[in-house]
Amino acid sequence: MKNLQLWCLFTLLGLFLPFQEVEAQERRVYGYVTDTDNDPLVGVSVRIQGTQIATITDIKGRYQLNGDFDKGSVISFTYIGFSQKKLNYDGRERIDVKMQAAENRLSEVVVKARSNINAIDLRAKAGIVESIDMKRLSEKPMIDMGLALQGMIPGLNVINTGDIGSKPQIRIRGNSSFRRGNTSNEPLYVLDGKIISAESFYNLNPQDIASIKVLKDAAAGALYGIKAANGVLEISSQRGYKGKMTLTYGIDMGLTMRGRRGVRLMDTDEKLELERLLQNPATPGYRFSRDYYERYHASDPNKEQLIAEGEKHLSALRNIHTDWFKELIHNNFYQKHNVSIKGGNGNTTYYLSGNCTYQGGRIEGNNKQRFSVRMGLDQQLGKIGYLMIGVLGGYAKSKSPNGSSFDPTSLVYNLNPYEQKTGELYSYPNRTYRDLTKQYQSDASDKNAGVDVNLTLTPWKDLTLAYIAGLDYLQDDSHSFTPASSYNEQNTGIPINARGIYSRTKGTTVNLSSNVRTTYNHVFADVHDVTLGANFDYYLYDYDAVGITGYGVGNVDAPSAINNSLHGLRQPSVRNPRDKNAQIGMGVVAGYTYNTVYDAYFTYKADASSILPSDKRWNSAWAAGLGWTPTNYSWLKDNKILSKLNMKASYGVTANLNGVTVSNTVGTFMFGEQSYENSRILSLLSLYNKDLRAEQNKSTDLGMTIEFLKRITLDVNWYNRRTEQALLDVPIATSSGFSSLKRNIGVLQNRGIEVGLNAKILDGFDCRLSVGGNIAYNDNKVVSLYWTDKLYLDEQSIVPNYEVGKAYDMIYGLHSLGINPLTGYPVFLTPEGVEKQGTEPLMRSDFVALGHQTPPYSGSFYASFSYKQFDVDISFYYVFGGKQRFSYQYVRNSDKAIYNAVSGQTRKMWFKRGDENKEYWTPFYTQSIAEENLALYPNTRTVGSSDYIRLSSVSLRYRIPSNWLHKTIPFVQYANFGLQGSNLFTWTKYKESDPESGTLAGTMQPIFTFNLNLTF
Amino acid sequence: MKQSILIFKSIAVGLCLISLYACSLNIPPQDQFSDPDAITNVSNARSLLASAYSSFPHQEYEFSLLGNDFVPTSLSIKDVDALNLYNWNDKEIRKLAPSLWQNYYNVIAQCDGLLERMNDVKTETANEENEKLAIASEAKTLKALCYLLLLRLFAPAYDVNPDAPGIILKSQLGIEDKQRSSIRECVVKIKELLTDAAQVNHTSSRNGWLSQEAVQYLLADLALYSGDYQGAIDSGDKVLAKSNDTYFTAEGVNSLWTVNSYPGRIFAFNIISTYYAGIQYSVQEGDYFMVNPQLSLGSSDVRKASFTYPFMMNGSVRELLGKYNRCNKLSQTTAYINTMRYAGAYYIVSEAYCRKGDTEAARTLINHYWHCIGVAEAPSGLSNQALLDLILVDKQREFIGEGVNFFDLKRTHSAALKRQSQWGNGVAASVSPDDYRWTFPIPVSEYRFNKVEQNTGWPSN
Repeated sequence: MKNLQLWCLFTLLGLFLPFQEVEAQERRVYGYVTDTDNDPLVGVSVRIQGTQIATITDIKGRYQLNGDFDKGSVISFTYIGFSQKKLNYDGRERIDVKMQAAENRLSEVVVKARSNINAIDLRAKAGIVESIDMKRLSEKPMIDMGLALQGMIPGLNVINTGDIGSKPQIRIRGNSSFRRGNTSNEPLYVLDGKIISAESFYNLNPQDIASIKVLKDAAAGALYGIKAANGVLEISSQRGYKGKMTLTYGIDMGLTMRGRRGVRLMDTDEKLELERLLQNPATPGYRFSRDYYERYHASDPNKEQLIAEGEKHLSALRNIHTDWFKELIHNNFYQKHNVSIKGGNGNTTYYLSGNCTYQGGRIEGNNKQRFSVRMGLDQQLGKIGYLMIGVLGGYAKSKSPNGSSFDPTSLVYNLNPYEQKTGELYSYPNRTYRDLTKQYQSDASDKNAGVDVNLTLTPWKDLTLAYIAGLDYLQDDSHSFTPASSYNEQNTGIPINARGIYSRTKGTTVNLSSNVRTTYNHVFADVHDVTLGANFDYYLYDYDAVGITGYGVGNVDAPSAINNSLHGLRQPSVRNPRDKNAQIGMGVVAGYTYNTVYDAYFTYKADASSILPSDKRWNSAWAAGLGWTPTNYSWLKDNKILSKLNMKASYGVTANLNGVTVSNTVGTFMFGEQSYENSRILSLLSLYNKDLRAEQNKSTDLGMTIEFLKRITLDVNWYNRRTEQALLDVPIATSSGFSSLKRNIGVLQNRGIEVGLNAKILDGFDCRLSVGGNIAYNDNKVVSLYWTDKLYLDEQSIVPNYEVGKAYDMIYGLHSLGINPLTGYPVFLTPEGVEKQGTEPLMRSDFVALGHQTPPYSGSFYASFSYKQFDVDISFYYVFGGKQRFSYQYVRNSDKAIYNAVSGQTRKMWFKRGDENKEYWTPFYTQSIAEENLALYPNTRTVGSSDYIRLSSVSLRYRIPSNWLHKTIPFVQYANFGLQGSNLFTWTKYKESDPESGTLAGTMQPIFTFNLNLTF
Repeated sequence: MKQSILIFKSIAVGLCLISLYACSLNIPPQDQFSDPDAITNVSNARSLLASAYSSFPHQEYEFSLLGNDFVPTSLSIKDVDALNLYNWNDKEIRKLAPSLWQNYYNVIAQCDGLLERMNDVKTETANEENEKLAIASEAKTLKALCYLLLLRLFAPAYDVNPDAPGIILKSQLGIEDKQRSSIRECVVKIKELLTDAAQVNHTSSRNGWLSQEAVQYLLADLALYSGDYQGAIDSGDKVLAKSNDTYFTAEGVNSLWTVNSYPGRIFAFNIISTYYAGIQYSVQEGDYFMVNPQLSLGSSDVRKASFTYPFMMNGSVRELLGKYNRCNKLSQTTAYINTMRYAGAYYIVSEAYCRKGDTEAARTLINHYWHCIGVAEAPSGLSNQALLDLILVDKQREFIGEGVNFFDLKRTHSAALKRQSQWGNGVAASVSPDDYRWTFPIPVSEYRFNKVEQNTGWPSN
């Protein structure tokens, strides 16, 4: 693999050489564009007047121009909301520019329009708002936007949960709720001011996005009210620009690789020897061994002949060496095409794009594809307003052969090396390889369409009115099929006419959002910058779906084959889940800045939700923050060494109602599908809690940014977020008739620190090197469980699910001293220091906390280097401090001996009395308590550290010199090509499958692509 | 010009304000009904009651395994859990108890939820008013039935110590931190519920709704449980007054297992799903358990044809359970689970007479039933104890597989329960009448979250 990469690199370098020669003499200029506070301005149009030489600034505010222009040419800088700046080119290579906000100039009103109307400057002065490096994101060849965000921002934690198409776990600064899962903990996704579903977000095309801002704390998110309790991802899409129309075409063609092997399995010889030791007559290694004949045919006169025949059989098997990992896990394809057109003139600009992406999975039948189109039209409305219209449409489809009872990836670990794709299998008796595939197929598709209208008006000076209305429509279709010929259907006693399962759900989701915001901003006496604002928003969610599940379809994947005459458990069923709710919010915001040095900020938002009874409907979010920028003092301004210092502190309280439904608070009844006598059944959905309150997220944040020499930036953020009145479905005394009730049960705390360091080591026109890294630490702790100190969600369980003083996702288990050479089962050491045999029943007091499942430390580091036309970017993502339990499913006991086993098991397993220093316990089921203890609970030797470092992206690009282009292919303005890779390698000590998802199926696929971008 | 800009500005601002259109938050849940508008008419109240009925747990097979109805077959080993339950394995009983506890209390909770909302149910016609009364009466009866079963399972026999802890008597839907009331208090409460329900005179042509006879039947059963023999006779007689001898013919007995409502049943739970499928291993190979050979029905007994199912297993014809199991084997649908029928009242009343010492009245009454169904009548001059034994054994025959015997054995606690080996060829173990397992363990959730006292013999860690 490594050799291949090196080879590719050199070949490409070779290709570039001819271009270097034709590079002509040309002028060049670069620099940084900032506002008066030295904050970079992104997307500023920079143009040499009278030529086609133009560019826009990148995320760091950097521009770079080169071409044929004269000394004295005028370079113009234009940016919405800022007055145009013109400079004469004086021959300097680096020209930094500071732009003035337009309002400061008297008697001229310029509209400041933003696609996200909540994205007002003010909040960044006191709150933590971080932007994602879109260049790095769009150079990462991955189909899933959610997963591509991994490692982009410290504190934005992304965890892959399975094969492609499965939903990632995205959290900002940890799980804020006791409730697990995405519903209660996922951030809010806002695209151009309208709320979009997580699915719509995952399917966005990075090329269509201008910026993604991560709003981490209460002060930043408070404008969104209670919906922002888990943070916000604010996305602005690409817009047109004033200038000649350009068309850009990008293509990515590549391969998705197999990824980590996880565990190495046995080859034939070792497996046959293991089978002999495990003595399961269903396995050939024992069935044809001398041991078997000696035992079962001891008095047979033909014994020696039988043994010889057995040996012959075994030697035939010894010649087969199938590596099922290579047979079943494929390399696959990745491709992506992207076309975009942008331009504009006078008062109108536009942006149009279309893209299609396909990513193949590691196993047959797993893939994801996506198409999307998007259009943005911006219109200046004279001097008083600005109108933006966006339309988008998309289609995404993912397929998976992994079902709840069948997982083809597991075949890699189950099939024996002496088995082949033809002939009957020992691992799956009476079946051949053909009978194992095509067991289950599911696919899910999303079709979405959306439109948004954004109107910004400045009817009077200093007053801005902004209105946005967005409609997001999503149709999702999920379908799964288990054919009658599948193993489960054949072998679980299902009558022939009831075999085969067909299930399909089709749903539509409509999200309607509207938001009106009015903002007044005025600078009094040149030093008092005052902002006052208010907003009103309305959000409507409407979901309506119809689902059917039918049985007896045989091998026909169609609803028409459903056997409607079936009764009982296999009776066909129809579902119609519907949900409609609305939220209204009203908020005020106030901000004050003194002489650009001191900032104060306050915001209050009250939200009401239709899902709660009218007396509990209103909940609020408020935040207050302070900022201090000493480098704006006149005596420190333009200090060469300390170029920027900013400190901020904020406190905010946000109510959280995610995942709470009406049936949690008042008696709610629903008609069931069945009837009793002549009456339909109307049943109580769940026990309701009249005293239920919203969770309260109280967050305190401190942040500091220091910049030295305009080159080295250090960001440090500290946060403490307490979730009080945290909600959870807790078990209750069952004499209530119910087993659980949603209650406010305690206080959860997420405390952490995020540090980022970025340095521009070289910064010239031809040669640039910047490096950076970040680390985020999250300490998650249960502070209080109101009426107890340990909470058990399962009444049989002896290990607490939540415990005061411990993280919410603590793994509990036993301290193991190793395998007892006499019994073959482990010996545990209790916290009191007493030895306890694995064969004894365990008590609650025997357990210790083994570690966190979610790693508390995560971060990334990167380097990007440009030399002349070359760009190299490399970034790594790492996590540490977490633990993941080994499933040990590949360690075979006697009963499971028919399946392949982990390499080395023969050596590491206890087989007989006196076997010392073994890792795996006895393969013979000799004691039920011990077996249960081991199956239910992990111990210090069956969990492993899930630390890993991942080479998350690599990109090597070459920009074809424009001179050469103009001479050779004049219709192409810009062209660049490169090699890109994502998730190429993972280094980990974790011995098992995947340290991240903990499943055998879910390893992030390495993807390697060739990319070409042409702008016409 | 200035004027027009002003107009334009005003219109634009106006438009923005209009967009603050009336946004209402009173959106009812789409396919759900929420308080306070959920249960406001009799139709919805009836539907909620239907939900309570259909949530009733049916563990008749498990109770029969615990009683003396069955013996293992050669296939029993293939269902280790059932065999363990037959052998009164602690762990198996601890697995069964929590689900029974919660499921009965769930029915009670639904009845409570309904009764709490009955005041808001509006009626317009006299029919609706009667229906409203009937619904409330049925909810109370159903609640009483659940309490009685809980009491029988989770408290010791009444006569051992009526002041021992019984069950938790709920006063409302939701969580309460109430402790167990004494068995005596529980009996009083159940009787109160039934007496209340008895005020409403109502009958139903369908077996699935609890009628007046069902209330009287339950009163009789409760009286027998609590040693109030005269009470059992009084209530039982009211039931027997409605009995008809045609119910005790071969055809009448057979009708108990058919899909239609039938006046020979006093009350039966209506079901849609399969029932009693757990006893059968496969149609070809037979059942996990067979009828206890000591309960063999005589050839003249009209019950024999439908109560048992002769089947060849291991080279001999074995008497497997008939009833629902027979329906399953013959691919006939079961729509009703017989819970109360007139035969039961004969046993209750005749036993009560015996217990009271009125042997002759008992003999006359039960002989009438036996005569009808073709069982040899009890000869005159039979001792009280001998007649009682005959009555109890035949009651066991009548309700074989219906989970009645276990409760009778617990109530009478007169002899050890024998656990048989395969085909009933020998005694493998026996459970003494004072064994702690007769009283089921209080579920973990209850003593963990409600600090309720555990029954003797069971762990409470």
